[in-house]
Amino acid sequence: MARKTIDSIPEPIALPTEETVQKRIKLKMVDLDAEIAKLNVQSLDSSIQMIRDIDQMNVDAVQTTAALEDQDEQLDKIEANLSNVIDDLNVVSHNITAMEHYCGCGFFRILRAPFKYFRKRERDIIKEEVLEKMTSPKLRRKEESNMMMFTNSSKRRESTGDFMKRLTCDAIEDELERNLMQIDQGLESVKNLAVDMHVQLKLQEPKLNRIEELTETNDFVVEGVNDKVKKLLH
Amino acid sequence: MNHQPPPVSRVGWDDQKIMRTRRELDSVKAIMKENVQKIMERQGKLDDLVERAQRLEEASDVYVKCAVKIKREMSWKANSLRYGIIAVSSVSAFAGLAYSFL
Repeated sequence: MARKTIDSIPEPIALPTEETVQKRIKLKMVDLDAEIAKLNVQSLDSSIQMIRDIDQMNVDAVQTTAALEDQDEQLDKIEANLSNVIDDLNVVSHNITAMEHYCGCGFFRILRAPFKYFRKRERDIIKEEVLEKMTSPKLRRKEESNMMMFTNSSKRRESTGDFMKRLTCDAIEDELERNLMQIDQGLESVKNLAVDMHVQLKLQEPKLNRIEELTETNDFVVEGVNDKVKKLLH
Repeated sequence: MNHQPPPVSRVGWDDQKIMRTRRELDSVKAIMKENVQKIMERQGKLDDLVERAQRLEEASDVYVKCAVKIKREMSWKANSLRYGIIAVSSVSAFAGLAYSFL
């Protein structure tokens, strides 16, 4: 019994000495430094990539804003041309009415006269409303004055200080700071361009609505003129 | 109203400039999202406008055809008397010429 009990006791584990502990701590210190340097390099690469992306965003935003302005001019031309078309169609309608008076049968025209003057179609009412809306400039000014006005605040440009707290004050962090400053400026430019796009779209919305109404009126007028012309044929 | 303290890794995160840059980026994203929605609505309106323009073109073609027909018919009506006189005179001249050869 005593022999087995004594034999079964395991040997004691050797405790680490101070030298071993210091070696491990040194290894950890070296690893942490390397890790910090690695992360700094990755941050620098990431900031450089951000700068490239923001430059690309700026270029695309400038092109988009220019295209929107061109479309704005084209919409103005479309609106003017549609107004001209409606005026020409009204002239054509008057001329066709004169042709009817000259070439048509007078008896049926006399019989039809009271019905013609008393009857008023729905589309004529819509056309009158649209024409009144077009000719009154006050409503147009009210529509355009209801737009939102964006104000750019430049307070944050005046503030000084670093973007992030410094850990290791070395050249990599200096370059990272400069890159972040450039990213900030690019972002400011992108924000201004986005606001410009928003303003352009807000400007074009009532123009598109007006063009839609003009087109609807145009359809009615063309339909009426076609009906008159077909009546003249028979 | 947030009584909970901020997380340890973000002590002073409201004061850093990079966080203000991130908030500005979020506002730019919101503006651009709204812009994209407006552009899509605008695309729908422009498509409707294109369809209306096509229908207007078809209607104008119909009008041109009818106008040409009316012009031709009115021309015939206006000149029918003249053409009749010319026909009768030519027929009589031809008859006289034929009789003179007999």
